[in-house]
Amino acid sequence: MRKSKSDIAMNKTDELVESALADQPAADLPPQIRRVVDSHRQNLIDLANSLIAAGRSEEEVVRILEQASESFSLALQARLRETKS
Amino acid sequence: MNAICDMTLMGKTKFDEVGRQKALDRLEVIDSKKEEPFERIIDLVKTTLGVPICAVSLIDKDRQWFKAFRGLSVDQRPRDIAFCDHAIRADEPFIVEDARNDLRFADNPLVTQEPFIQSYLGIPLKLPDGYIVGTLCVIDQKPRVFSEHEIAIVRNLGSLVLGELELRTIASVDGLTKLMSRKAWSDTVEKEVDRATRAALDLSVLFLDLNHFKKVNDEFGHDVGDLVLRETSAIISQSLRKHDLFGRLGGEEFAICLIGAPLEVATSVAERIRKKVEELVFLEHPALSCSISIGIAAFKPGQQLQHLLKRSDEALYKAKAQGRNRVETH
Repeated sequence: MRKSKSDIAMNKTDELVESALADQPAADLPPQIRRVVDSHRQNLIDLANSLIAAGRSEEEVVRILEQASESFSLALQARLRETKS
Repeated sequence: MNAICDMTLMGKTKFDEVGRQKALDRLEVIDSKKEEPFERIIDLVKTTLGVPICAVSLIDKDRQWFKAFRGLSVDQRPRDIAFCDHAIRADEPFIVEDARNDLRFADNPLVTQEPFIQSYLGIPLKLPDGYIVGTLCVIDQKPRVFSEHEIAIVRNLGSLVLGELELRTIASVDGLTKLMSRKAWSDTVEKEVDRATRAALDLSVLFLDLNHFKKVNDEFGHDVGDLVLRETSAIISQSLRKHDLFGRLGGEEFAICLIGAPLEVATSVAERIRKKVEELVFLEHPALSCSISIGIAAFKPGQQLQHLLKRSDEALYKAKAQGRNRVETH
């Protein structure tokens, strides 16, 4: 069965988000922070979908996701340091 | 081209201004220094939408303050002229496509003078507790129709801003009871004590301790212990005014700052709280009952929060020594 355009876009989005989140601090996050991280992942997926729907190039989508993810990582690391101290 | 402001989709959004301001205050973000995550998001907004002006705009009491911005010469403006003050009144994107031909904005100084706003898109920043504290806004200096795709992109970037703001609240909210954490409570009450000192206002601090809480944990288990903490916090919250400050200091210890309340008023509030906790019923655990001891200290000019807490703790000690489930004053 042929994949629809939206399936292809969704798979692509997942790949892009996984790639953008590759450097996120892993496991053992406090539950409250885990919830925000999960929500951030969903926000990135939504952002990627809206960029793809707007006809933005893959390169641009990747760049935007990486930048968005990097900024979140910075804040997350700062918060983790605070909650540990 | 018209301004769009859909007031029909409010859902669980809360619009009372006192609660909204408190939600903003809890973030402790107003007048904070520049932070890289917000700067990066705002850069993304500017380049992705290709607009000359954009900002993370927060609506404070009488001003809008920009946590991050591009294309503006100042970091705050009076609230009464702010487009964003319109945008926080509904849980939908607020769009003005041509401000010069919009009766609400045509003579607005932000339209007729710098920064010469002609089109505006504001995405409300709604916190998980339902309060809208500001917007992620994009502005153009020419009339502009924002496409559905552009609105969706800014809306999603707005969600990223919210994620950053939510991260801020984690350390300030107690995860179990959703009350203020010890640090958040102390920071906020310290400011109130300063204000009481400056303006010679009344203020009282209540120190509360759940009686025999260890026994509840030992006999019924920690899940039930957590339930008791949540239910007790909820019933106490219902007895307080919106601007009173209620925090969990740790374990089974809580503190309340009653703003503007002299000792007699605080004593009456404390007695009401004591009775409500005593009357709590746990339907799934009929054998379970709980009670609370409360110590009160009223603010005296020149006193710091640590003295107030110490005095209320001493009063709490007296309440416990005299048989618990009672209110004592210092």
